[in-house]
Amino acid sequence: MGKYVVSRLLQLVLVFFGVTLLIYLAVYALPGDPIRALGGDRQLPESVINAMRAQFNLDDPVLIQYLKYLGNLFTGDLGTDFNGRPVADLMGQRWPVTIRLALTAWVIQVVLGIGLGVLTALRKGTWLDHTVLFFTVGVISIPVFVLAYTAQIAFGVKLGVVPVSGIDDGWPLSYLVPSIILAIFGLASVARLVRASMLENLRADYVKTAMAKGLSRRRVVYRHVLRNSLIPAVTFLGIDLGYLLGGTVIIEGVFNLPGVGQLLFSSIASQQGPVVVGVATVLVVIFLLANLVVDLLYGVLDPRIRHE
Amino acid sequence: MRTWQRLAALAVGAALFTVTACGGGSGDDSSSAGGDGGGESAGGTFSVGIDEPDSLIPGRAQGAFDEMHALFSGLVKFGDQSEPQMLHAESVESDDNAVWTIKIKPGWTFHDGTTVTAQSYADAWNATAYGPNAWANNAQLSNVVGWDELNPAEGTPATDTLSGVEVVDENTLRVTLKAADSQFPYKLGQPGFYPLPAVAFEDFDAFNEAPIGNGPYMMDGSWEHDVQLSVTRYEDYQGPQPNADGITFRIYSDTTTAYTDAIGGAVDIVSVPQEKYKQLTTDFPDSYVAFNAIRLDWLGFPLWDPRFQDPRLRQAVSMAIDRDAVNEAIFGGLYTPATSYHGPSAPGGGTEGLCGEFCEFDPDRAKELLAEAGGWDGPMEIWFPGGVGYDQTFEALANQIRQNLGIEEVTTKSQPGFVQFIEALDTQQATGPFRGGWGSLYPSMQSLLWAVFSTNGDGRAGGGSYANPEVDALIAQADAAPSLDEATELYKAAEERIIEDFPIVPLFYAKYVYAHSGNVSNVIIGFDQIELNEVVVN
Repeated sequence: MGKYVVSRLLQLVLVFFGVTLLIYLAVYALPGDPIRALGGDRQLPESVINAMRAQFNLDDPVLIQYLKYLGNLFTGDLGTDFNGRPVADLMGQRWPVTIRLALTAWVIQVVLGIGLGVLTALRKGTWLDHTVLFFTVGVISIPVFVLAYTAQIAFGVKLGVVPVSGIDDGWPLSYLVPSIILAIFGLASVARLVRASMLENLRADYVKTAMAKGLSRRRVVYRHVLRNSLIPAVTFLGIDLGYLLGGTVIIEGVFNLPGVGQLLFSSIASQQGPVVVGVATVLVVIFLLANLVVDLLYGVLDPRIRHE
Repeated sequence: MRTWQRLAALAVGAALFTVTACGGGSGDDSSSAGGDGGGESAGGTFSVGIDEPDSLIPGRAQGAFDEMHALFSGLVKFGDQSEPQMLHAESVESDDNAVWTIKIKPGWTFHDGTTVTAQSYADAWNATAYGPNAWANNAQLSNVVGWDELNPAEGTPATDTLSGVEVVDENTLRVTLKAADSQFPYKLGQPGFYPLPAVAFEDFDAFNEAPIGNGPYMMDGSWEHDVQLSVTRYEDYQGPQPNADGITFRIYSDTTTAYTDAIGGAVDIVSVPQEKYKQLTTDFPDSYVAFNAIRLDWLGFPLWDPRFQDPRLRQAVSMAIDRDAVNEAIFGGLYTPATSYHGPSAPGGGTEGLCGEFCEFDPDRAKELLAEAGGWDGPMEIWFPGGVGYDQTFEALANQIRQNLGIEEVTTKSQPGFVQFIEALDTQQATGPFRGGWGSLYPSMQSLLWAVFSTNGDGRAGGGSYANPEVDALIAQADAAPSLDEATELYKAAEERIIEDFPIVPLFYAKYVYAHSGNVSNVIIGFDQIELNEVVVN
């Protein structure tokens, strides 16, 4: 297994170079001159534009720009945005916000999703099962914008139990509502995946065998059925962590959380290559690591899956 | 086989731990809600919703006007008056509009206790005008003698000081301009003309994080990027005393969120996003302020395109637009339909009505004019930057032109963003009428007329690269006028001449629209945006 992990990590290095180059090329390929647009309706003087173009290596061919970027990267310099703010600072400030938001949402998905899945599978056909089904389907079909604004008005403005926006109140208060909204979509999927999978496994022969051997129902359900039913949910949750980290742009905007979603959005709009590459690369690496963990978890959950 | 249980527990546990560990950092916001007032005035603190400043160095910051006015005091200010009022300047005088003598009030200090001298101004202006610094407000000094040497087309400049700025004594500056400029006192209100303390020049990046200015408020801690910046009363301030003890500028990435926060009372003063204009009177019935700034919104034309050469065609488009209807539908009636380039708040009462019948809504006359101009073949494309708040307005304009001018195919050509839109104008790729706008940084008619309609203007892309030597001459005459009143009359003449050519369709005199909570009163909006000194905390 050690060998497997090492080879996967080596793949990560390759992916890192590929992804950074690809993103760099993509930003470069966007039409328009980002420096020219900095002045808005007022054109900046030629001298100022030239100085900025030189500072950001924008006059070099794109591959040279990329190599210069990589060169700086290895000396620990991630570059700056157009306002002269180091990208490292930007990310250092914004990643924790997004990570807090995404992990809170993720934990909600894990706990509530698996919990509701197990509960509805065991109480199949009861009012509880129907209620959960109704709400998960109902909530999924509401656009996230509507849900976010409604929750903001209801809990922030009308009831005043949580801050309307911002991170002044810290974790958990400031992150509670945004995390729940962010979690809701994955939550419904996890619950339904676990439920379906549990129902299938509950009918399996090995359950009857285990019961026949005299194991308690509780032990059978949690030790054997649940464990065997988790593989699809774990796959989903692994991929979903990446989605949660990268998909926070709307939620961050509505709740004014200064995370990377907003940063990525505005940097793409203003074509700030170093910022986009920095943020997106971290995103890709987290995604790949999450998937590595998922693959390793398969082996733990099901000994038949071995990584040689 | 218990390992999987432990692993799962570990994973969830680790996740929870990371979350809580991260959460520890931010925590409480240190505002002690202003109880520690100096006693002599109203006191208290209030908050203002802003977007993340691009910079807090005056020569570099393109936005951040409110923050800038709290931290710095320039030579002149405007408030809601269109004539410059002396702030730190004692007097600004010239015999020929070319050589200006500026005397400053002695005894003013920066927040670090050092004195604000003529040299503080000269140093700051040199830094702003120095091309390699690449500061955004560089061009505000472009008419000062020596600016060309600091901004060569290629290579680094041989000098780093403006030869036209002379420190006569500790409190006197003499500025020599390249061309006579009667409006120079107006321009002194722009951030590019603010002073900087000596400490700024040691490390601009460090200075930017906690600027030391000469304004009524000083930084309380440093700039918390994307979260807030707090300022507190500067006790030794020599200018007009502010009412409140402190201000917290809360940073929002989305103005709509700031607006919602203001409804909830979490922020006291916010700039109202355009899409909320219609519900403003419901949400803030007695507590919004709309100030007629010198800002014009218009529809420009690709004057390089032969199809748009005939002024009658452009006048036809103008008469096909029901400005009142668009104003009601999009801006909740807050804007004023334009009948010239300058609304009533401009010096000399503005130029309302100069456009005559061509700014009136008259579809029949519009169709006649279009026919006289030779009609229109094929689609007409309306260009604007998409996704930044213009979509609704320009869809509406396209509809108006389609219905009222009888052009079957009027389409909107929304650009992916501002970058691409500007590029299309700059490289003259735009193929149809486009979004134009200009907000004057100082309330003189010169700002718009020179920048957009003169041959050397820095905003002429937005006017379709209009050029007319007669207009250049009229503007130059006004620039050289012996008094502000005479200058104003001459600018009016220049505007009249431009309107004859009808390069743009003036649409609206736009406004600065602000809303405030019940926590504050006496919220006055002027040319310098919020009059922060006047705000009273209830």
